Amino acid sequence: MTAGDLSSTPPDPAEIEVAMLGPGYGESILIHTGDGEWVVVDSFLNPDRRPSALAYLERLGYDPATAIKLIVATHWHDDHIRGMRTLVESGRSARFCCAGTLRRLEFLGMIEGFRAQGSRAAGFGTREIFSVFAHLGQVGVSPLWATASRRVHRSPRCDVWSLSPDDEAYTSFLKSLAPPSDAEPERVFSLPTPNQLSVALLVRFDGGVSCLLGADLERRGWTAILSDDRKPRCRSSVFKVPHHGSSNAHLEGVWDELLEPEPFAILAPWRRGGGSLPRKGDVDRILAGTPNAYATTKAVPGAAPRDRWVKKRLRAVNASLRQESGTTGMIRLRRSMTGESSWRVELLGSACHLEEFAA
Amino acid sequence: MAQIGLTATNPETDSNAGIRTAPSPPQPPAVLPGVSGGGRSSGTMARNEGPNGELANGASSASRDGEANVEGASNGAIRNGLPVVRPEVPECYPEHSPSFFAKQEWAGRVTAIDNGSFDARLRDLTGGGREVATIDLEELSLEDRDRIRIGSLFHWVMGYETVNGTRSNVSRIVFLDPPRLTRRDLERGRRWAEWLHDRWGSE
Repeated sequence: MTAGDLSSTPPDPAEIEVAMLGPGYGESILIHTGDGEWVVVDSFLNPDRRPSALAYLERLGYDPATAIKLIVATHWHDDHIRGMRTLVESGRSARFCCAGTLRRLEFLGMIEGFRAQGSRAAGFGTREIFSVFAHLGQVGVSPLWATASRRVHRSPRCDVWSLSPDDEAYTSFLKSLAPPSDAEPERVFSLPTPNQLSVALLVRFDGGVSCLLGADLERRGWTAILSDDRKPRCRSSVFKVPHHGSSNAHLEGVWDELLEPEPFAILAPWRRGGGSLPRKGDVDRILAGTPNAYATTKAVPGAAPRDRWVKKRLRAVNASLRQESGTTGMIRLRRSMTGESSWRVELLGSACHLEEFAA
Repeated sequence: MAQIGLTATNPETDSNAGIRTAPSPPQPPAVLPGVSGGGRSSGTMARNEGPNGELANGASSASRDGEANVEGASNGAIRNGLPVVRPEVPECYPEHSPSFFAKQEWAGRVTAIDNGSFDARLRDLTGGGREVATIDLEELSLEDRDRIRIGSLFHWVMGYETVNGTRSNVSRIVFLDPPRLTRRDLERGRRWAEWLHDRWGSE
């Protein structure tokens, strides 16, 4: 199933929608901020190589060129940024927002250097963020630079705040970009990990409803957010669980101070490499925090059918392989902006309650 | 017999590059020879370059998601907007040699490194499909164990090797070179970055 197959009833103009899509590797979040205006956070590609967010909006009957008002790339990991260039080109009335740290000449120069080399080892995400910046350079529109506690968007019915990255993450990032010294004219770069530069977002609606979107921000970044007195004071009823539910992104204080009791927790699982997220302990921890927890896909371990000789060799070299699922699921939350109401949950495609994640 | 492919790409024709229309930024620098598509495998790599710098033996094309991809393309062809280049082949697997038969091949990208093993995302070049794997670091040469990084690309082949009439099973992982940037690369990149800042203004 692709996003294009998902339910096609658009939200009412005065209805909030938070839709999270994910195929098991990749995630994208769409938020209807009222009156047909949308915020899109991160991107992945459907099997037809179309950004899932565009396919979904078109399925609902919107024109992305006018409906999207803000596009956020929380960071440049492959699973969050595939199709971002197409998304930015299509969302012609939208501003593009990313971490302010990426404005540094050192970073921009480095990604251009990798592009010029055609270095594939630098990763797809690096090429995609380069491509987005190149496009924005052509059209002469600056990104919105996200930093701790900065309002990056205002619509008639809501505002959007970036809560990170903080100053310490910024400093650490700059150190990782140090150029080669005279004694080291050529340097093998280990690209800085972008998780600590992730842009966590707070979306506040006029009726008092708010959503906290955790990106892939890890624990240190959340500690900085909790200690930041400049951030808006509110508790969110929707929480995009950071870093696919990983324990290294969990901080009890976030649940205690930034979220309502038993919030609607949504996450996109991550299956890549030898492991996957969330792990069982992560699922248990999240369910202990709220019964309203959902995932865009179920865990799908297993190995592909394979020649007996190859199986034997795989055992001999102690390698374990699993199939990678490409089935897209969507968690869709809707509620009225006005009056007393609660979130209505729809699970589409392979999405499931978190209790069913590993079933 | 399956051929062994490594990937090189030409950023000048990358449809995602997108910086060549007006207003023009500084000209993108040329591809550095010996960087794109370079490979290593326990010091057994042979480098065969054609008259235009393309790599000879075997065939590969560049996939968009950063993994080596063997599709039997011919030299000089264009696939997905990218020129097909001929990859290098380890000396231990000479083209058309009867001494090696590949039963299974993957193109992979390292996603995590742990004590004693590494994780990778794989494209099955034999049966198709995508998989993920955890592989012992002992499968790598000592040199590669020191150099492996998250993001490293590799080609993994399993098969029979026959030497002097004796057949043995082989599992071999061949890595591409990690990204390297010189000061000159960074200076050129900085000019592009400054062009961007000019375009974006002071916001």
